[in-house]
Amino acid sequence: MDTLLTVEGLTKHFPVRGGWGRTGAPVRAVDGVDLTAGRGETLGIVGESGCGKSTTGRAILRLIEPTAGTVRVDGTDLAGLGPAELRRFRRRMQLVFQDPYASLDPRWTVERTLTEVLRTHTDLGRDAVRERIGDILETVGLSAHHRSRYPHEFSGGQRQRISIARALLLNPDLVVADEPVSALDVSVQAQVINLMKDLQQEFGMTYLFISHDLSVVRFISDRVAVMYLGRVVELADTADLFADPKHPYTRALLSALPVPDPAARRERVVLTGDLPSPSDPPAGCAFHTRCPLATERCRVERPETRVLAGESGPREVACHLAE
Amino acid sequence: MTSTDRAAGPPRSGAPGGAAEPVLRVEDLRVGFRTSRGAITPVDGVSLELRRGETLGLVGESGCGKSVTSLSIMRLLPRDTARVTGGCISFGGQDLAELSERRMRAIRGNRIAMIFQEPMTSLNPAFTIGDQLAEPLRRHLGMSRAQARARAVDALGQVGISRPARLVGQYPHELSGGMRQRVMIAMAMACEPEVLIADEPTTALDVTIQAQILELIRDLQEATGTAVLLITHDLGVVAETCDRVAVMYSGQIVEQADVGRLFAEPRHPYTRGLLRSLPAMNAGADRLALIPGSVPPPDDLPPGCRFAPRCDRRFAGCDHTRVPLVPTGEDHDTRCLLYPEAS
Repeated sequence: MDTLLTVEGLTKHFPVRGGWGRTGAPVRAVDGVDLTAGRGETLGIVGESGCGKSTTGRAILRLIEPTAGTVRVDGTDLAGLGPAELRRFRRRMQLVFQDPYASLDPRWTVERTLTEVLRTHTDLGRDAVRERIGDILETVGLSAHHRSRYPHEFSGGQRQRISIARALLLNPDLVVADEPVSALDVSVQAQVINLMKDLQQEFGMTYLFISHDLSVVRFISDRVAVMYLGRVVELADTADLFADPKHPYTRALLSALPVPDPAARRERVVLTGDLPSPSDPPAGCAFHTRCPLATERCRVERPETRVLAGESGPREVACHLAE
Repeated sequence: MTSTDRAAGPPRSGAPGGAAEPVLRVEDLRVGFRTSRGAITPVDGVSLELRRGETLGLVGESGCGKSVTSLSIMRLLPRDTARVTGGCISFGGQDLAELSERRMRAIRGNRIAMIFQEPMTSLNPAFTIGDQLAEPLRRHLGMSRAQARARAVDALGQVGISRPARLVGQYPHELSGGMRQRVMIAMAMACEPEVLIADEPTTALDVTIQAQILELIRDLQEATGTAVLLITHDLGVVAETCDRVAVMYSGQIVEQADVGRLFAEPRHPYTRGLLRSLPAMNAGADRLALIPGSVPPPDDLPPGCRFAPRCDRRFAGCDHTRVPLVPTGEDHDTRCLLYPEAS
């Protein structure tokens, strides 16, 4: 597959200010992430709160400035772009947020929100703008007459459709979707997921689908990256990852997922303790404090990412013990 | 039309023999809200029974009335806009609606406890964990300060907190989300309530923490015999923790059954649609099965079956007849004309 997105060594440390002018240890939100995503592919990123998945998405789009690392989209190194070039390049990369109510201006009609995007990034005339807005609303399953309404007049699912319409207006190559269906009810969630899949088939964009919900990620993604404390601990084809998770954290995560089948009784790996602080990650393997298999080596030596053979192609895992 | 519903009645109420007398029984509960767009009835004829030691799941999507039902049981509805307009909630032989506020306070937090989705907003940021845990013990059980503190430390130990003696001096903001929910559970369980109402207790938590919390609730329940009313939108959580399930749609229970039966043979088209639309049920499929349309607005409900406009098995009768919830099989009630009352 033709590679659209290449991320190498992406790092984002947030400085922490202590009291009385002291500087605390920085929060290592993203700590050396490598990823690639093919054109038209959906790469899922899963992990629990604080694992750095959202920061990764934002750093890729340069909505926050990465501390280190490179991001290439379609061969262009984003770090090499000046402000004006970056702004022009932005139209090729869009973001869909979790909470469409917070990301749509409540005082603006749908038409104004969408017009703003087209005015900023294109030189379409008035009629062409109107026509494009009518088209895009129909594409996402709304109708042209919704254009004069305000965000509060829509349901959560409809608002998320508007966010998707806004993201698609400029025919982007890459859409980073950060928990796009997490705030929605099950039945509405299903509608939005189907919509996203249909749109991808029609327009061929790449999705970076960030979510804590493993069953949603499993359904929509071609490959899945699992993050823990700012790093990718495992990355594999979706079928391989769910059938045969290699990293003990992935295994724990999958086994914790409640299954909607009362007859299924299975072994659960219950992790003890909470996530360690990302400003003071454990030495060695960051997961060793909660890992049921941790050995002496895990406590001192940080595992490098290794490539293993999977059923559907190569897979990556950062664990000393995985084979 | 209300009378049809009443005649059908709450399915198991008054059934002689069988299981033990329920600890909590909700019969034909109706709750009215005054809104800027007029009066609505977010809970319209809900009947439930909760037996000792069991977990009943109350599932449904936003606005279906599941949380309003639980707040009505606790008598915590906003007094100026909401009112219980019908039905009865009986707990230990008493109708909770008839109790004075003072007597209700003696039950709330003591014999019926509640935990909420967001533990940060239900803990008081200005008091230490120890103070907040001790308060119900001193109020309800009349303990001294020292006794209450010792008991608070115990209770925190029971919910799996490793250094409870240190934690009692800490403030809520110093704890993680999972720890705060453990504290909430410790508070709720400290008086060994007969009923615990858990309203989306793990929705704000990560899956690995969710697994810990659900296991904790189950362990405590086994030790105390507390009956749990678990309110959730997550059918996976229901499948793993509940004995029985009631599915709500638009203010009404549309199906109620033993958990195994509900997942194996769902009857109501809404329950079936909901289960079919789960990503977990569609592994390998290209698209998710959908329930078309959306929930009717509470101020403009369909006159007949409330699910009819979205139902794939709708027929002419569905639009005009108010459909009662009737027993359609052993421990299985359904509110759908396709499933007539079993004799």
